[in-house]
Amino acid sequence: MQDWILPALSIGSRVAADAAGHVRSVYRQACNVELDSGALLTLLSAALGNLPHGIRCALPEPKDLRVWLRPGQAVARDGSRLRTPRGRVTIELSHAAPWRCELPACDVYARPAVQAMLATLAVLRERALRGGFAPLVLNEADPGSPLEQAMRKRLLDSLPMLNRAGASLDAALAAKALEQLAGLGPGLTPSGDDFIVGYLAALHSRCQLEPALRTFLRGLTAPLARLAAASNLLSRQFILNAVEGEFAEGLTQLVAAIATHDRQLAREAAEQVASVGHSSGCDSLLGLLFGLCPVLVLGPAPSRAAGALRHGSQHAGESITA
Amino acid sequence: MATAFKIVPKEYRDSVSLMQLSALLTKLSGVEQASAVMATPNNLALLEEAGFAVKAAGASAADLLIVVRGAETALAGALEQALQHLTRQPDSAAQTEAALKPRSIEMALAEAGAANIALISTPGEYAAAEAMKALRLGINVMLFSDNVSEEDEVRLKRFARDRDLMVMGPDCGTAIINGVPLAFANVVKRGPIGAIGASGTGLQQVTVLVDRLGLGISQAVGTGGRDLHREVGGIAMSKGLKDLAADPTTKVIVLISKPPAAEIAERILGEARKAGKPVVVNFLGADPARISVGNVHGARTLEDAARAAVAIARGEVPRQSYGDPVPPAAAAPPFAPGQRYIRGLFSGGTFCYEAALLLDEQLPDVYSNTPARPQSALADVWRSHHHTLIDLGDDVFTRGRPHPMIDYRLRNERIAKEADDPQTAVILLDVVLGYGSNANPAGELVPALRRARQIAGRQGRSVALVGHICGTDGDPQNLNAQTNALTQAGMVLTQSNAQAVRLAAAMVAGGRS
Repeated sequence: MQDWILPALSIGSRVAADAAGHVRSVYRQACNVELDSGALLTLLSAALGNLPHGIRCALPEPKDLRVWLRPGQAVARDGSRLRTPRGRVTIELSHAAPWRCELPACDVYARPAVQAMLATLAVLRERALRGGFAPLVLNEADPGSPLEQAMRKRLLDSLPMLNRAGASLDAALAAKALEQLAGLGPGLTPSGDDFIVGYLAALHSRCQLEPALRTFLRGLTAPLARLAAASNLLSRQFILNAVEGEFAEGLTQLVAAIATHDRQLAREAAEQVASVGHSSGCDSLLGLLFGLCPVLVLGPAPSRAAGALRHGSQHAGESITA
Repeated sequence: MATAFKIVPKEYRDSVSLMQLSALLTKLSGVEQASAVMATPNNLALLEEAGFAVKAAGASAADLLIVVRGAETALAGALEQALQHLTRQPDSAAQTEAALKPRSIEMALAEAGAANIALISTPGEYAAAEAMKALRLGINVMLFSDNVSEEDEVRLKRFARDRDLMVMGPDCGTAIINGVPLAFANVVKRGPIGAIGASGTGLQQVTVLVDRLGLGISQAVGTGGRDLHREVGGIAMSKGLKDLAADPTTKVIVLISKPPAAEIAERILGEARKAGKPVVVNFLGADPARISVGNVHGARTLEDAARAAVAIARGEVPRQSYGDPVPPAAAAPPFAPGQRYIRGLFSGGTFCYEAALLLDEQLPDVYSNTPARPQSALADVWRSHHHTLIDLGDDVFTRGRPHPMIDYRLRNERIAKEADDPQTAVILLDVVLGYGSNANPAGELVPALRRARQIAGRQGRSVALVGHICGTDGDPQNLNAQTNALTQAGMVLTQSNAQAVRLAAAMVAGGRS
């Protein structure tokens, strides 16, 4: 029986050259493959953005990876091709364009950049209505379930702690806060992990213009690697990518839009990011905004529960009110 | 209030599915709260903080944890439902799999392993390559595509011959294989007569007439119009002849072609004589008497070939000709002075050529774009000159539009134009039914025929409308309904193309006299 040959359009920089493993999960537009090395390879529909560990493919109608792939199937690299011997599909890699995340430097103190962040925040407020961290942090309403109440309580502890750690460049304190968030919340990649990825995107972007942050970021590498190791396959890969400064294309584009002060583009990119998963995208947006400008997330109003603990974020707050 | 939970190891559901699962469980009777989260240490701690008593020792961050809280009697059922929800195959995946179409011959062959023929209909520039792929896979080819070079045709057919395979085409529009009509073909009974034709409409005419005469077709094999050219060498016809000779269900073989190259004709006839069963040969334009030797019977027309084959299959002695004299032209309207020409407008190229041959024997000044003689070639195909027979399937007419068997617009315009010509006495037509053809030819033609009669009538003339329907009772267009509609519109229908041509000739001869 002959394989379908799907041409790969692009291949992420963290895709191993000798990738081999087994399919772990398949969705319409994405397929997660656990490699023998323990890393994750994600096969993506062309309609989705690049991932550092992803291969984007042109899919024929009906553009559904579930047609060919099932959990448990073996996947192996064979020269220029990625084969699934029982999946009836071969991915031809020879014409794939290499893709590498290039996160631009973002000057978070510039007023136009803050305006682009506010545009992003507006999207987040519109989209984060239920599930994950964002509604618990941004909405005034009381959380409904005991589980959400417990999660909000956890956030009220950890986010101000993380804010203080960032302001004081205290990597150990930041690691402690992140430890409380990792693996926390709903979703295949729990909200806390998505938040961490967004947060690291902000730090990697900022540290290009703020040298002091580099040491802080370096100090988080080992703790985050440990947290990643304890997480599931997907979260682990996203966090490890993030530690290395590599992020999904959508998030990268959003950072670029903010860095170039393009509010419209920021809004569009934020919409794209927010549409990922049920709450994953919104939690990443929350982490990004928190990393870029904590006051946007914690809020300036002392009446707000989270905002009451917002000290340590004066630099960003000054920019906004300047 | 009780709590129950289930750990599903290494279950990777997307966030939306997990949220849906939680919502589904919460709606169940007796369930107050439900959650489906990854069993990370922080989530386990969170559940404890929220009052869920979950002791999930051994669970890892890669596992899915489903927790329900509510009436104790409801929880086991809820968890069971959760597991069923997770194991259910998404409907969309099953549907999309069913909708998946093969994208190559090789893939199609993998789906239908017993198939031994590929019908290729692609733009000509790709057709030869696709045909070669099929041949390399060991299956026969029906090459519907045209615009395939003669060099490619020779290469394909020689390759096939070396592997005992058949290439029908290029430009092979008709075949009936194991009773299945392929491309432009009619629904005919199965029976003892096998046909091989280098002409699509020629094959259609013979198979339709055999059906009407009460017998059936074992196989009808197309070869493509160039197969009997010297360069190609009649490879497909030879192969078809060999196969039908070996086919026990085939009792009589019919060969149909325009005049082949002389040496090819000789070779094919030599093979026919060795076929071991009767072979009726209609090489249009060739002298039947020179063909008829031993088991080979020459036929002048397509109708003659069909009738002879049926007669032989029934154990009768075939006649040399079935072209009975046409009775006095009672159906002909009174022609006005000056009305003396036949204007034949054909959708089938072989019908046009056969008409040119037959009329050329009877009438002077017969011109065509498929002329019986080179000097009878029509100078301007858009303008009729004396007796004019036009193959509207010629490339000149089909660029940018469907074949006239499908699209009647061009012919209908030309019918009106001919009706407006005071020299036109008879408009001669073919109507081809069967798969591939227009779904309702009468619906297309009848308004044009009425308009033609009105145009002529306004000028004090009558035009005769003569033709035949190439179709069977089994064809999807409903032969009876087509016949009735065309007859009511004033068209005189005959049983075959040859009969229609003879009738038209008799009409103009009668009018002239």
